Amino acid sequence: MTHAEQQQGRIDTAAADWHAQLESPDMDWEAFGAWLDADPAHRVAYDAIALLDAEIEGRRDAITASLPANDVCDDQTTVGQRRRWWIGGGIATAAAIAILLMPKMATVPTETMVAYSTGPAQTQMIDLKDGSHILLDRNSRLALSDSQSPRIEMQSGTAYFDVRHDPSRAFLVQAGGYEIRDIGTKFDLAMTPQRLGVAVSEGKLMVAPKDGAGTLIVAGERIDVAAQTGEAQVSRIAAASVGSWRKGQLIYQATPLGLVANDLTRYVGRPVTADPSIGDLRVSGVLAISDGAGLIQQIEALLPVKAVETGGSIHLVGSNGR
Amino acid sequence: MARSGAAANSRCLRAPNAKSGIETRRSAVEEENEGGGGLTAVLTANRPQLIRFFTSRTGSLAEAEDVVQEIWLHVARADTGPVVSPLAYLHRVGLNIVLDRVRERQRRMKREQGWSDVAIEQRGGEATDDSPSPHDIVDGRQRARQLATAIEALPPGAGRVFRRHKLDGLSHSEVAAELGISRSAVEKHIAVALRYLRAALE
Repeated sequence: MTHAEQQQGRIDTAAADWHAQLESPDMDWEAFGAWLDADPAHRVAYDAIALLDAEIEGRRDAITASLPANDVCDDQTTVGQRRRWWIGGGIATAAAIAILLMPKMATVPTETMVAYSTGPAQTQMIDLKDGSHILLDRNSRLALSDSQSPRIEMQSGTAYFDVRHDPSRAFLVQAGGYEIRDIGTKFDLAMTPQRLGVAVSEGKLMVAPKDGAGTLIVAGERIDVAAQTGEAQVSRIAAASVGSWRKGQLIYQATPLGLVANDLTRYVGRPVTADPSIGDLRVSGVLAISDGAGLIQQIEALLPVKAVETGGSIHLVGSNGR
Repeated sequence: MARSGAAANSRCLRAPNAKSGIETRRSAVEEENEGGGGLTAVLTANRPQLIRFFTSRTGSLAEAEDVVQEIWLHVARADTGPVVSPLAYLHRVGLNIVLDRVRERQRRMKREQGWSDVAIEQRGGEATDDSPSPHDIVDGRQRARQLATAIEALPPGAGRVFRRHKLDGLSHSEVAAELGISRSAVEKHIAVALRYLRAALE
């Protein structure tokens, strides 16, 4: 054995010793740190040992299947079946995966956010460095930090997101008090002061209140959250109809008029509200957006409602009886 | 924008209300305070030590800061039960985070150096698909057999301890009790096993 090999052998032995002690109540973290610092080769050796250990853990079932029965285990099969749930094991792996999906909140406030906003007649395509795209709808605003893990602040209006799959980074959209965490999805996000709506056409994503537990939304589902109460409802939708505004259409299927009014607000350019007495009226059909001006007439033609202009806003009320 | 709210198709959820979400979070943290000494508090109090340790672990202060941030995210969000030794736990969580980063870096390096899986390249040269290809699955089986062979060839004492701990899932103290040896003897056996495996699989 050459001197270099002996040296490497000693380093590998030390790395294995440290790794085997991680669970020990007497683990000396300072000393472990000092050892890692002493020579860059220590770090490399430790990486290799830790990766190997994690790999064996990850392939445990396949390895066990390839091994003849463990002699110790023969008469104690129940013990052998038990899974270990300490942090170095399954939970850690799951946690580590979860962390990859998690946004970096409260991070460097120095990151540059670029603001995008659109007028009543224009949409805007935003291309991200990682190959993802965002199409910003009319009368909408967002701010974007296009870093390794892109962060988007949806401020108002609607946008359609086409996010490229890349497990190495988090893609985070913040909208009001909520976060949408995504790793490879196509989805539509609509935001008003009252409401947050997320509809997924491909893949899946997590919608969560900041610092709270999330709800998983998959392709063909949409979630609507009332900003005031936090009340949320998930419903089934046709995945193909998600983001139909990109083709100049609004497609509805038994959608409450209250939600439709939110969309109208954006295209008409003035607040559109539905009287509470008819807010639950269901809208089914296709509206042509065009320049937005004709939408109110289309709604009036579709439903027993009429538009009343008050101040700068449009109020929808029942056309029969009131 | 498309919407469907047909009541029959809807399911109501526990509201992801910002307020109630935070409330839930708080109570979980409080339980931790009682059970495990308050992980976030322990983290805050020991931040300098953690930064120091992970600077040593990664060789970079900036990366150490990222790792500690991710540890914080983990303990603030994950439902961890009571933890016996919070500071050790935080170190171990961080080591797992570092290992994930190392693994990801290696994967990316492989991709960039063009050692991409043939099966993926045939799909258009873009090695972005992380789902296992048939090739990967065969690779995985071969690798598992290779690991099993190496584990079988371990010295008997180290091999038995390693298998009980790593494959059967017993904790160090459970293995120690079962085999009538000390915990530190278990650690030694495992270290020997890892050292052997490392050499055998090089």
